[in-house]
Amino acid sequence: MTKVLNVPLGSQHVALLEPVSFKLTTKNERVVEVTADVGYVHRGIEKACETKFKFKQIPFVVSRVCGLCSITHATTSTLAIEKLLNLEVPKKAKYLRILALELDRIHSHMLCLAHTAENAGYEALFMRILRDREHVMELQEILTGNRVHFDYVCIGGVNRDFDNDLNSTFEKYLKIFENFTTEIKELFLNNWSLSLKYKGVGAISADRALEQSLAGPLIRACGLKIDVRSEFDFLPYSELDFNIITSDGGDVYGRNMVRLDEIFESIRLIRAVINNLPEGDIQTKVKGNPDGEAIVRLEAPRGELFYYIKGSKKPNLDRVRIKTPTFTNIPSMIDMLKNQEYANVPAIIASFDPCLSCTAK
Amino acid sequence: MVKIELQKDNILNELAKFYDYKRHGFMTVNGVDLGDKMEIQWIFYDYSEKNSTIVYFCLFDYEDEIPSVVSIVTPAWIAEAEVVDMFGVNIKGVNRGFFLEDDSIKMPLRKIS
Amino acid sequence: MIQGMINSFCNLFKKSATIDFPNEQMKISKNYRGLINHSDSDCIWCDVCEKVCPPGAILFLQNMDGSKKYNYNPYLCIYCGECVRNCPKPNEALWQEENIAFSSSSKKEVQDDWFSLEDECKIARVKYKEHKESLKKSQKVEQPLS
Repeated sequence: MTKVLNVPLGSQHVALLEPVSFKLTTKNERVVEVTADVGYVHRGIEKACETKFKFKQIPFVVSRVCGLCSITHATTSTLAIEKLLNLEVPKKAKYLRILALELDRIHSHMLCLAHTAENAGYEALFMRILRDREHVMELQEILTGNRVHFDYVCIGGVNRDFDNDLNSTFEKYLKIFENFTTEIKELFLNNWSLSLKYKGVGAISADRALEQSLAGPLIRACGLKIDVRSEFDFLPYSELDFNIITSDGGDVYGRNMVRLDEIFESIRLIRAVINNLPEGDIQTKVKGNPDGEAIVRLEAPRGELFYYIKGSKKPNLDRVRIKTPTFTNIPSMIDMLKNQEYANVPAIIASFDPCLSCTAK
Repeated sequence: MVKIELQKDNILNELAKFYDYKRHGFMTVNGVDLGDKMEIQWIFYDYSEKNSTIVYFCLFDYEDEIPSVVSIVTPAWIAEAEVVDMFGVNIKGVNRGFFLEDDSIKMPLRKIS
Repeated sequence: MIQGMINSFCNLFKKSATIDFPNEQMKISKNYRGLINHSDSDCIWCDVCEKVCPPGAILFLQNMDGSKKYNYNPYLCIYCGECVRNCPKPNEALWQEENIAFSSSSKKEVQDDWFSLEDECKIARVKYKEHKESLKKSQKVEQPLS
């Protein structure tokens, strides 16, 4: 006998970080139908960018879209506006932008790993990862002056110079990062509740992932080499021998492995940036107003971030369109939840690392 | 950035001819209010090429019925739902209320002079 | 398992990861972004900081005699430092503290009437402009006579 139950999940739920609501129809504890509602935290940032703020203030406004990937939002919008202004940014500024982006990626991935651990019923590991994440935040504060909203990137370059006496501080912190990431990786590889239990949960095939246009660590967990960092030359990733991290299986375990390996890759990139940091200015002067249309994509910690900016030689922009990685991933999240056991649902949602304040903007 | 203009009656045919999910990634559906017309853009990129962005666009009047591309591009429904909520345009088979609640401002991104 | 027991036994004697706050001060890095400070004597009253401030946390209230009053709302400020970077006399007229800002150290800083102040500034500016124009007109009328 089958019993059909309608179970609401969210918008307030212990397993969910952010306000999203799912209505799940379950048949014998197996999910058959899902509907989602994502618009709980809509703040009208696109509208504010078009009306209230001048284009020089846009990077500060859009960095408030999300707390975790604020620097990615600011950098992407800056790159788009610079494209419209035909600005040539100094090489040192480009390298420093990579530095800030990769630091951001480390702490965002660590938060996601912590929540995956928590959803496996491993609260102590959650606390431990967050304790170690504090070191990353400290390093970000040393570099930019703020812990969360850095406001480090501005149109024409970056706001703060990298002093050479920071070299030793960075080396000290990077060693700490490496140590604790190795420890965490060992746990994620060998611990029963994190490795065996998560194998095969929320799996998606490579073909299905391509059809759903997945983004970020999720598609790389299917073994596909798709990373925006290697596709575009807005930032000089190719000069730093950037490798795309992949894993196979396409399940929660694979995603965790991709995230852990990406932390190592980010640490390596940060070292490469510091060792190859060119001399020179960090800012150029901004002249004129943006004119035309520009599209910029950049790899945020959760996937690709997309900005469409249109200007018409006025200080106010005509249109700012933000497409965030979680927004792309929600169709496949709904698709993936079908035919899963109800108990796995929070773990799958956490493995997507959803950011609803990004999605609703 | 490559921009290709489509005719109103030919959108689905052209996109079906172009889009192959194994080669092209789908980015989003974007709307731009030009003041008297709506520009709807379907944005794609090529996995194998560097620096590739392919933008298909078509100009519509505000009241026109815009065809839905979900039959060709599966994950497009969420982007279409956002465009409908933000601009108040009429896309076939897409209901309002995915992003904004019923009692919130209608079509906030429309430029009403 | 033995390793696990050793680890948990060692953890008993480890230093705690948190800071015992009132007794122990927080570590603040150099170049920390704190409150914005202003000096009336060095300011050249160019209003650049007011124009560039993203949230609008700096307001200049125009007085009728031509002078201006600086107003700053630390609760609206996002501590981006854009005003200091754009200031023609940075570190003299406008500078950013490197100390941590404590929450509401005095009641004066809590500005409940900020939004009414915004309107007041706008009205004062329009009034001052009219006042100036009327002054100019009266001067122009006087000039040909003399």
